[in-house]
Amino acid sequence: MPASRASIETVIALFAGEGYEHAEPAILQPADVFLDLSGEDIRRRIFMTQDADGRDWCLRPEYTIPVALDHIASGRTEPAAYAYAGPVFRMRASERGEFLQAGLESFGRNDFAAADAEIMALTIETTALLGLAEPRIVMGDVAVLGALLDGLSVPQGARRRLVRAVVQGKGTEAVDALDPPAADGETAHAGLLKALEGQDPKAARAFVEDVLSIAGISTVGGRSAADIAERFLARAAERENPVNDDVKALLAQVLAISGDPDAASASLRALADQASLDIGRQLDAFDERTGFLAARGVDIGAIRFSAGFARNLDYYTGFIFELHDTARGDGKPVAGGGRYDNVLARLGASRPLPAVGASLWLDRLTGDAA
Amino acid sequence: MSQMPDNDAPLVLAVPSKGRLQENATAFFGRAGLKFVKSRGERDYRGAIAGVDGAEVAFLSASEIVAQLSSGAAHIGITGEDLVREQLSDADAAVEMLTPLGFGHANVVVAVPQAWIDVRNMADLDDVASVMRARHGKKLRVATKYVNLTRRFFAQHGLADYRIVESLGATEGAPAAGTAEIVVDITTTGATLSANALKVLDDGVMLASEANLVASTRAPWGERARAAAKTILSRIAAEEEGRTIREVRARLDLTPDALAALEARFGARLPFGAPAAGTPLTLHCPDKAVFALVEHLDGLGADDVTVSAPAYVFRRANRLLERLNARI
Repeated sequence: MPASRASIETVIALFAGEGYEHAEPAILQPADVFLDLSGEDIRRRIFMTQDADGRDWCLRPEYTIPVALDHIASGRTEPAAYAYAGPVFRMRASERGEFLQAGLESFGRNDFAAADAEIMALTIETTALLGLAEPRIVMGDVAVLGALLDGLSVPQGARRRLVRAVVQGKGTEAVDALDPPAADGETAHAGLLKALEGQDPKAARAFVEDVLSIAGISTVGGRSAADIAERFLARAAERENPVNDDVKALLAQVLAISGDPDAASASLRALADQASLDIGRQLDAFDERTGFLAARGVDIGAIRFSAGFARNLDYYTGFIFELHDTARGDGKPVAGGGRYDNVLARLGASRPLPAVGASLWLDRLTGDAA
Repeated sequence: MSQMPDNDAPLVLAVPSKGRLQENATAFFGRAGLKFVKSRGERDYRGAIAGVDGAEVAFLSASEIVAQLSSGAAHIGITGEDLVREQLSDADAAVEMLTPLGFGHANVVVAVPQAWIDVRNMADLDDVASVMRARHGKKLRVATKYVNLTRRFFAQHGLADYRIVESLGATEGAPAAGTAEIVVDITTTGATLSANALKVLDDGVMLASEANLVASTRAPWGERARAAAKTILSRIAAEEEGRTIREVRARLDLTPDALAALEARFGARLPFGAPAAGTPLTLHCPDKAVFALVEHLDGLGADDVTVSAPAYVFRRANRLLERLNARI
């Protein structure tokens, strides 16, 4: 029996002791939800098949979505905590397609800071139990970045570009994405944009409808004249009022913040004060979580918080973390998790449900990786 | 090469079995002196090449050709680059593109509704896709049969908020039918897209495809198959060389330095070496440089400058064969 198989019982027992009920979702899952939540790019990494009716199914590439779907289907309304361990299936370049993952999911708890800390602390304890005593721990928090962007009134388009650049790992250079893209098409639209500048949305929409009807273009394809007009207006507004240099400089300083959570929090507070931004509520929550982590015995000084650390934002809404084995050369995490408050509603839950979880790559932790 | 080759096994040449691609392929091989013969009549799916020993011709659909090249069931095939790139995730390992053939031109493009007057390029599309997701909670749907090409191209442009709707026919009708917002499709003139109120993005050409002569690196390349490949590729290369160069003959005595200058300036070659005094000079030069070369020779005092197009030029250095041999 490989070491990773033996580890299943170890982790399930550990999690059961903490009140996490053992979840065993089906291996065969509807493929649609994974493609929706993780993007088309995952298509080349999942093992897909079709049934006789042409519906796409896949071998579960991870546990979170199957556990969440089962939770929704159960109709339970009280908070629930699940643990899992077993095989997941992904096509990976230099590793096996079937490998073992374990993890935790906590649904419905409203004491966010304590729930976050519990998940992260348990993940660290489990990796230690499996033999990784001193992992490199990285942490980020997209809620703090979001609050800052709200406070700075960064326009939606610029905000989307910035957040994407952050997710792509561009660090402080991500602020360059705040500038409107210098597309070649821009000059071709200059006349249109000029004509629309300062117009109210209704007039702009009528204008776009006129342009389309004069050109004899039929409207197909899921976007209305209003959608198109709105985008023109947003771009005209962005041309008129680009994100100013002070905001860019501030955000660059924020994205450069890196250190243990307490030090990072202090730096964030100082920067927010300097710019007269009120993100005290988010930072209080941040500090509260750090406090809970310390109370659970986590060495705060060993955590490296980085304001520019973010992952799949279709998924994560708050804090995220990863554990790395410094002995691994490929930079892949051995465990990771975070808060994903929007996912259950998107999967069909009747109301938004707070959620936080983590998963561990047992194959990487136990050295069974091919 | 993964299998122990059977030295007596013939070369399998896979060619399209129907349509314009077949006509063009037959004409292409015909020009190179390679005539397909079907011993059991038109509807036969196996044939041979007249006068070439050890070669078997398999008439297959274009996508089947890609599959057989990938598995190694065919040694050489004619198929579009679009299909190779779409069907094989490891195209560069599985096959070698020996040469483009000059027919079967078509582009795989990203096309959006003409009504999207605010969308001209992939950056616009990316913006629209993320707004659709953020605002309406639904992803941009892309109808296509080129699932893999689309995924790679969109990833290169950082576009992630979309869903692919697989479409195996009449893809261009998907936006009007409401099953997708945009399409990725193959087009030659763009007329079909226009007729469906779609336009190609400025930077939306994913692949400029044409028919290629493609070799399989996984086929069992035994001695007999290699010999047949050499015959076939020699004739194809000789025909191509003959078609793309001109032979220029003239009465003119030049110093070695002046001869060398012709090569540097016009890409002209002395196939038969420097002429002995009093014998004509023979040059091979690229088609497009021929008149400049003629004028230059005239300026040097040449007479009876005679330009002709050779039917074939067989050279020891054969680019196609070198490419093949480098991979098998």
